[in-house]
Amino acid sequence: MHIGSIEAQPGEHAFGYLDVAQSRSGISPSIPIHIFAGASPGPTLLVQAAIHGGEIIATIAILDLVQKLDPRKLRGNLIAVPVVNRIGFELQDRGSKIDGKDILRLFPGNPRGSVSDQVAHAYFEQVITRANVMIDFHAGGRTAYERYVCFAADRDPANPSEIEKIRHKLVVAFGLDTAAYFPRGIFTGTESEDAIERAGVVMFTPELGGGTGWLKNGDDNVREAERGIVNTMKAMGMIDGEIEADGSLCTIYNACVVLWKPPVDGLFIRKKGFGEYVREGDVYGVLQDPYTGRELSVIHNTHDATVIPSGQEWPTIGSTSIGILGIVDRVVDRRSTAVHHVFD
Amino acid sequence: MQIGSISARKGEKAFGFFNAALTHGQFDAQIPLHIVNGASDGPTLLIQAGVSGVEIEPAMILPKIIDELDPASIAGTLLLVPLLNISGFEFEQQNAIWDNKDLATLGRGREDGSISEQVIFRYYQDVVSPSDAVVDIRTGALWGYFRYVGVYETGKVEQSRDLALALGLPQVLIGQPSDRSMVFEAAQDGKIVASAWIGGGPGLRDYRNEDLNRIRQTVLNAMRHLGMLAEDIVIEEPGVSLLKAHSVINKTGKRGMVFMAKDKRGKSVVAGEQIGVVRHPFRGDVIATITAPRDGVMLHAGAVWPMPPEDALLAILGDPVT
Repeated sequence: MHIGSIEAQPGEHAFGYLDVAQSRSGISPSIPIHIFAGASPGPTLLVQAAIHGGEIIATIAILDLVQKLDPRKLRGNLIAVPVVNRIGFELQDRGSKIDGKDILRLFPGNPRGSVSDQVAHAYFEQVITRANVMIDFHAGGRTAYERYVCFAADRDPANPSEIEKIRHKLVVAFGLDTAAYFPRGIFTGTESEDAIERAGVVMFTPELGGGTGWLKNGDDNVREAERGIVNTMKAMGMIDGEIEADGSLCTIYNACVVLWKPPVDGLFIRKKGFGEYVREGDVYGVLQDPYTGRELSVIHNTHDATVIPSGQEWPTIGSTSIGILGIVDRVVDRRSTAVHHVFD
Repeated sequence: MQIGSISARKGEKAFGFFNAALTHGQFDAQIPLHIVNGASDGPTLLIQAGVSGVEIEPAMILPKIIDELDPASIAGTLLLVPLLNISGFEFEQQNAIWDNKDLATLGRGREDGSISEQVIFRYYQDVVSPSDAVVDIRTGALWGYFRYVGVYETGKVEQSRDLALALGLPQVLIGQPSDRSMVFEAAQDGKIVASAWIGGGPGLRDYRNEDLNRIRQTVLNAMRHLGMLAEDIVIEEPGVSLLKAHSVINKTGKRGMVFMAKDKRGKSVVAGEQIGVVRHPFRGDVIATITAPRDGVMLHAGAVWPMPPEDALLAILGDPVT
């Protein structure tokens, strides 16, 4: 397999940089890519991290995995990209300061656009379209903490597409105890994701770890991300072995409640914890005057629902969502549900 | 007591904004200030936090402590600044937005300097100077995590050490390196000074309540120690260890992702022992090791997040003092 000038023969691991664009000053945000070309044929899994530059938990997991993985024992190919957005990674920013754009929202990209448009175009054409499955890792950056697998709602829940059926299996195979789908257009199901789906790629998005939990849980989150990659390879038939998970059950939520920042600003103090069942009208959090401690605004929950393990914890919140709540759609038991998929 | 337009008579509390300078766009460069003027005479204690615009967790609890305090039962005066660097806070950056200066590096400021220098000059003259003791609460911002009190080796060292020991945090460091901060200037001016380093973003999720309580106890213990509150000092178990600083470790050499050994905090290390590594951010191999320059105890201090800023402190080592 080769991507740009990076080439790995069957049974080999290769590492290099994919040239994608060049800025006006000459900075090239070339993308670091590991290719593990399996000794025997099989599907291709793409795992990527830090497309939002500060979300680096899975970056570390990928770095750990590439030290250990033996391509001679692999069926198919693994493409591992520890950092997609190098400018954001350098500056610990979500987007790219070169043009202020979020690469994740730009696929299939534009070869005549700004630097990020060009990055998205080259990466889409030369990397994403080569994969059967794409795991796009996210995390809480430095200001939040997450622990679930996120994916787009089915277009027609009564009649899911082949890609959606495969995704149902793989989000469970990943190994976390929580997954959540969002109404299309909210966080997921964007035009960018539609382009990926049109290319025949099954995509899902673990949201795992983050800066505010790094001191105590960071090492565990890194291991969970690595475990999820290995589980996905097992589910795709790329390696042998049993799925290792949080437990046998995976609860899948319909993440139908997103709470947003109120029109005033201050210090955000969340009052509800992950997994907590919250009634409509309950206080989810408050905004507090940083100088007097006075409550500026109370954020009430809008529906009876459970707090999905996701959310802002740093006290300044900008314009982001401050809570995601969901209603249980189904609970999948890994012991009695097929989570493997054989690719043609 | 009156500072700027904020005035509190004996037995009263007051809050307001201390106008320290006027920007070219005619914004007031302000500092929020609480005054709790005790009913009886006593020392003046200044508690300040948020000198960096991204050290904001103390602001979650400091105003609540003011609510708790009854001036009638206080001797002396408490001056409390919950978040000194308002403009840095607004724009989520360490430095002040007006001139991109780090307020912890401007000494006692300059009357004819840049906006930040003017702010610090006015603040030093009107708030720091009237104080007998200063506790500067710092945090690890978004990348570090701390649990210790530092004391400079200048001015009233013994009295500052005694205050630091009374704050109740697990470690006290004698020999906090000299710097260009206003609190170092205050120590040189003979004030009793302690720098209380508490918490930081990487511990916010799991230690928030602990750390906010540490901040609360720090304020109350300082007041108890100085005789402003007639209460017993509360010390965190298992007690306070006293260390003499000998090594401050910052980034040097190769850059990449920095992983400091979290499990060695608070423990003894020997010279040459690995206390951190730098990994290549895309290949994953270790490209540099960070070792203890000599035997010592690692403080509960320094960067935790693997991508700390260039000038971030990585670790402090010291010798136990008996």
